[in-house]
Amino acid sequence: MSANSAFITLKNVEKIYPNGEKAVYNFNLDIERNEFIVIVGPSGCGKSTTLRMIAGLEDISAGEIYMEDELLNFKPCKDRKMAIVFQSYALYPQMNVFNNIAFPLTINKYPAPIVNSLLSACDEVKKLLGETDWHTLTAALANVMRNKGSKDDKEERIATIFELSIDGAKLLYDFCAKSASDDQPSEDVKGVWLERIRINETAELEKVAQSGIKLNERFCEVDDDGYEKTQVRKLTNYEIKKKVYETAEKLDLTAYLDKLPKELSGGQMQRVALGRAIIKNVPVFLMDEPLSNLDAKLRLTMRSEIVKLHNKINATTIYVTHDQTEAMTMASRIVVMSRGFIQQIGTPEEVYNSPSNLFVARFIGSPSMNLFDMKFDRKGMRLKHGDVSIPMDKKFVARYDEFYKGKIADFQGILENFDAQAREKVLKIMSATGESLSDKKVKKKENIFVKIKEKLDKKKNGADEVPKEKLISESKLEELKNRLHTDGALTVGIRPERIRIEKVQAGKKYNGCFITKPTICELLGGEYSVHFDFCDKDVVARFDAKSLITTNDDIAVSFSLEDTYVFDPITCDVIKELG
Amino acid sequence: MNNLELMQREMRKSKRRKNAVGYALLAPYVLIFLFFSVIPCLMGFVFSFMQYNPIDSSKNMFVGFYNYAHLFDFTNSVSLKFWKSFATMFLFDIVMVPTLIIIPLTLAYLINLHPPGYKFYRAVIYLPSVISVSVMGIVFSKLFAGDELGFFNALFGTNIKWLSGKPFENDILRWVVIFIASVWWQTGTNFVILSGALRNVPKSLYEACEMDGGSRLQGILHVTLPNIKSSVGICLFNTLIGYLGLYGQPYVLHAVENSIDQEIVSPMMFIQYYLKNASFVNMTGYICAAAIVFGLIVMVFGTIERKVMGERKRTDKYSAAYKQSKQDVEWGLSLKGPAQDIQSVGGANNVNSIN
Amino acid sequence: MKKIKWIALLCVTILCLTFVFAGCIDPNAGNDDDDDKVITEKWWEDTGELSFNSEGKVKYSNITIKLATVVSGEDKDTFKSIIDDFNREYKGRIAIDSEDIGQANFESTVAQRISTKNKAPDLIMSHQKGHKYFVENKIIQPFSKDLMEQSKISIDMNDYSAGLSRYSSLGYKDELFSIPCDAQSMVVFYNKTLLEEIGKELPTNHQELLDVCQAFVERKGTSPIAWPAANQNNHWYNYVFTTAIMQNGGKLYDESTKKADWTSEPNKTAMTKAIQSIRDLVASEGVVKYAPFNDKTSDDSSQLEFVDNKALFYVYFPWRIESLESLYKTRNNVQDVTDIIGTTSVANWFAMDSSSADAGKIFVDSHFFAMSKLVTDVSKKAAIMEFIKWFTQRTDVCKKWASTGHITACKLVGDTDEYKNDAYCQRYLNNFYPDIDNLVSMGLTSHYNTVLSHIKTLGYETLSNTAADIESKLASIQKSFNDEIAMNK
Repeated sequence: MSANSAFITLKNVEKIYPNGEKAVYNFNLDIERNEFIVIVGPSGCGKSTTLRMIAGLEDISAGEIYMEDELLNFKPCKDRKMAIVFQSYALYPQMNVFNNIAFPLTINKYPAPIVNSLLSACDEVKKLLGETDWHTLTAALANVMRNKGSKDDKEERIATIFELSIDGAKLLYDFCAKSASDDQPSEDVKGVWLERIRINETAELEKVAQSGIKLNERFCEVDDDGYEKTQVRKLTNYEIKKKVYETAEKLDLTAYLDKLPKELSGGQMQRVALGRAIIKNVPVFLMDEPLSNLDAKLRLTMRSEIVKLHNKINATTIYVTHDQTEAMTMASRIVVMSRGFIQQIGTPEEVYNSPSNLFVARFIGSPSMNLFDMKFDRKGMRLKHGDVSIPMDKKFVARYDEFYKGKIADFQGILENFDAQAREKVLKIMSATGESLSDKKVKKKENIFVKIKEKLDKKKNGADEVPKEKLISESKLEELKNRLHTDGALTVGIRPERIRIEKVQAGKKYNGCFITKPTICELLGGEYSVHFDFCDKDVVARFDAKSLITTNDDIAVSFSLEDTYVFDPITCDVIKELG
Repeated sequence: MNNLELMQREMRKSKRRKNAVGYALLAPYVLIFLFFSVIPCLMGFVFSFMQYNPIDSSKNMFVGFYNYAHLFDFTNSVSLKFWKSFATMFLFDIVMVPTLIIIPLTLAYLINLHPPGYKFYRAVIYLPSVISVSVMGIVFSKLFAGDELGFFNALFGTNIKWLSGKPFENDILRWVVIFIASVWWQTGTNFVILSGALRNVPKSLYEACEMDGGSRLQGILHVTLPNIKSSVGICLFNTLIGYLGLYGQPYVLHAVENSIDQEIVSPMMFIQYYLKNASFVNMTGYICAAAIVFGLIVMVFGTIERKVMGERKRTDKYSAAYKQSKQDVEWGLSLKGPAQDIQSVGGANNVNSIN
Repeated sequence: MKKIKWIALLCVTILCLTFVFAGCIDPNAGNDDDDDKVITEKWWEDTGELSFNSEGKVKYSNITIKLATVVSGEDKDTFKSIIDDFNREYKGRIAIDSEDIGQANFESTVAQRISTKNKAPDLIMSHQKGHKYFVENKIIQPFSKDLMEQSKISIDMNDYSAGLSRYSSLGYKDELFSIPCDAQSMVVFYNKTLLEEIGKELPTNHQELLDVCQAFVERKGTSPIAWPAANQNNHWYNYVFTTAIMQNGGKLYDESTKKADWTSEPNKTAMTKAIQSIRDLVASEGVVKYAPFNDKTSDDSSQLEFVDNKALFYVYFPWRIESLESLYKTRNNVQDVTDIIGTTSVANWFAMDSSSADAGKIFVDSHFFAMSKLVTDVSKKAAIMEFIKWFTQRTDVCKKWASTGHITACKLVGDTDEYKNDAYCQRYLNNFYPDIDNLVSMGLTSHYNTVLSHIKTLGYETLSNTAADIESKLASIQKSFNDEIAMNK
């Protein structure tokens, strides 16, 4: 595979449901490491489906998904090195928080080097006895042994205090239990222990030598080339506990370890779900609208938490949401989808400032972009609507012609060879415009009689029934052709913050401005959202709340050509961008 | 003042009207329950302290715990029959009750996977439970008739006496027949309840388990079973109570040549036998006492079942362990410092006193 | 919490104390089982007055008598036609409205109806075994001697079979509660041709029966006796086994205490002999091998054995005669069976001592008439007595009733030539019941259910299982019997 292939690659991924419905069309995306990809779009646009295909919860109908050049299509979920956080958190209701977080660790086996536990334990204890002062050591040990608790608890405490492995702790516990219960044993006891260690070590080394196993300095089994052999084993309780405590600390859940999910609030449940995901230590995180069930304030805090977490653990995250604010604030790159088609892929700035079509322009930004219809007056080189006219330059006319010629060529190509691909192209265009085939998505009851009737109808009408998409593309072609001669209607867009508003003061002259009265003034706190009518549409603009504004005030509205976008209403593609 | 009173009266009236509908809908069940369950129960309780003759009331008199004393007198062969019947019933129930949970649960799980034709199988599994016990008895006593004309005997050319034998001696075949008949007959009700419970397990939990690395079996263990626990508890309760009052099946599938002694294999059969026959009228008080004692035993079982299937008390062990481990880590770090710098931080109780 | 604990402790103490003292109350004190009781308080009434017609006979005007009868089997139609005859004869005066209730729950149904006064019958015709139960629970009233004098309708127990009429007082001195009507039991059909074939005569005692059976087995190889299916119903135990006990002088229960006394002499020997005599016939070990009685699955299959000429004797109830003969005719393609099928009785079959006076006893069930306690009008009572007299003492009626296998209990009829020479009686009844004074029934115990169920248990445990120890079985079943009776006082 090529050297600069991305971390995760989706190639022509499609999803077709058993009843013939296509949910995802031709999804192509390259994801690099540590990216925060957000797939955003309205309900039913196929974003969750795509995420589930990446996770392995849905079958991939066509296309391939690669991770580090490995084909993922047929790999089961658990082998994909991914973790997922669901919208409904999906916490196991009968387990407390500790067990929920620990669950991936308890049911899976993990590769670990094959350590000779006896030798490594002996080595650790030897080191400990050498480094630590005897009296402190014995005092601490006596304290631990005296307290209430089971053998396992005490062993774990010893391991925590003295930073040993559980095997070392077991050995030390063994020594303590065997020696006399004396609070202040003398140095002789130390000697006894060291002697016991020496005996065990020699015996074990002999055994190892006899059986032909080779060990390295850390007492791990190695093969003939000196590489450590690994076995796949379950984690010990102590290891699990350590990891869970770590994760709980990261997410501030340490006070809730014993609670059941039903006793937690939404935010806490969300964090537990995150904890369960991050404890798996996998490179890829998938999140399916995790914040939708939280209230607005909590959503804000959790947004930043998730991004901070993402940065801390250096993960690659793929995040699905319908909220464009989340997409804009969290993503390193946004994928905008609609009706199964990708509308645009880009960074938040690109998607905001350079939307590739009307859908993206409308979807991204809050409040959304103001759009109004204007007619293109070719002779006068301006856009007109009623009294308002915006002068355009020659560059624009050239762009206009080029755009439409190109589009006409596209459509002619489509109509020439109207195959499945062409149909999909038409559907893609319609996904941006918002049109629908009249009975396209009606779910009919899978009745055997209806099916037979349909088949009979098809036979009657013959095989050459004209598909609706073709009709639509034909009509669109007609319209496009008209554009070259006539003054067609265009959609003009401008972002609210780019409209300049001034309160009209008596005596001042406002040239090139449009004077009107606002219809509504919404105070957001630091600024107003001022609504006014323009070109028969309701347009929103921002106004600093340092000064008051009411619906009685006159305002002078102006904007410059560079701040506008021009879209073609037939295909909804952008003709002119900023500048 | 008048207005206020009027308003209050109006409010009360409308509330009564609303409640009236509720009461009217409740009435049929409440009345039937009252007259066919509660009142007979109370009457039976009263009769158990009396010498009661339903035909000739001149003989009725209050005798205190006389009947109960007789019931617990283990040298009395009539009372012995009562207590012995518990043995046969318990043995059967230990086998039957778990089977009537496990088999419907397995079937519900398999049907839930929607194999082809699952709707048909669902109907086939449920239908037998709508028939009455007498119909079931007729069908199975003909199927398993002991002579060559019985269905299974004719099919396999054998002459096994299915429905015969004395309890604890040689009637194991009869219990096998009763077992098969009961499973066929009563799987349906539990199947429906457990089927519904299985469908209510959220799908996302299964997906979470799959993503966490769980196999199919682990999914069943950690997702399915805990989420249907309450429904299993209900089914278990109903089945347990129903089979403690075992009567219909051994009665309709009785060993044909048995004498009366062998007929009585469950406490309910004991009670029904002595209530049914005319010449035992003077024993009515005693039988009521037996019924009360039996009822109390069933209640004990019911209570035990509810306690076992209910919520367990939870401990605080993980938070405590976490706190402890934090303290231990700090303590451990402090130990690594110079030998004379021993500061106890939290959990190390008596370090100072030792040194 | 403390208060609740104290209250609980108090309740428990009271409970324990009452438990201890409860044993001191004996509800049975005052119940005596003396069979010579005197009625101190009447539980029935007399209202109204008799009216007489010109001839001095009682005048009845449209009296309806509700009759509850236990006759509900194959003899039901004949009974109905007898009732119709009566209604025709007494048209306008007395009408009998009869209802049949199966014998399985006759006693409990009628007792409940009369005690709750709901659809209560006026006249009861049922098996004698239940009548002591009726009187113990004050369901029936006696027939008044005074009324009999007044109405000139007299029914004298001396005119009836000694064996049956001894129960009529139901234990009350000088009272007449039940009037015997008829008797029936298990009877024997035999195949005359087969008997000739093996060159034997009809057996007159137990040993001869064994010889005949042995000869049959050696000659034919099949079971000589077709018993009724003992594992389908209780008839075999209720009639044949009880007959065996009677014939050996055994007592089902002690008459004064009503308890079973099977373990003390002379009853113990009697019971043992009875069991032994049946074992001789049915046990599979021993000298001769006969089919045990509990391998038949239906009465039909045992009948088939006789009809197919595989069995010599067929033991069953007498009301199957017609169907038996027609079945024989069809299966063997003969027209007349009078020379092939003969009739005899079980008398003397089981008595180990053939010279004893009990050897010819047959255990029967007998229909008795009794009057419900709810009848108050003396005209109605007189009408009832008139009907009973008509039913039991009219020869033509008795002859009709006899055609279904019920022998009359009234000597006034049974001793007449007309009755004795009636074709049916000649061919069947006289052979079925050779001596009506030798008929015994359940007697004066209200615990008939206990008696019958324990007899069945005894039979089940000891008869086909020759290894069973008779003495210990007698003891254990007797204990269960007596415990049950003790509870049921």
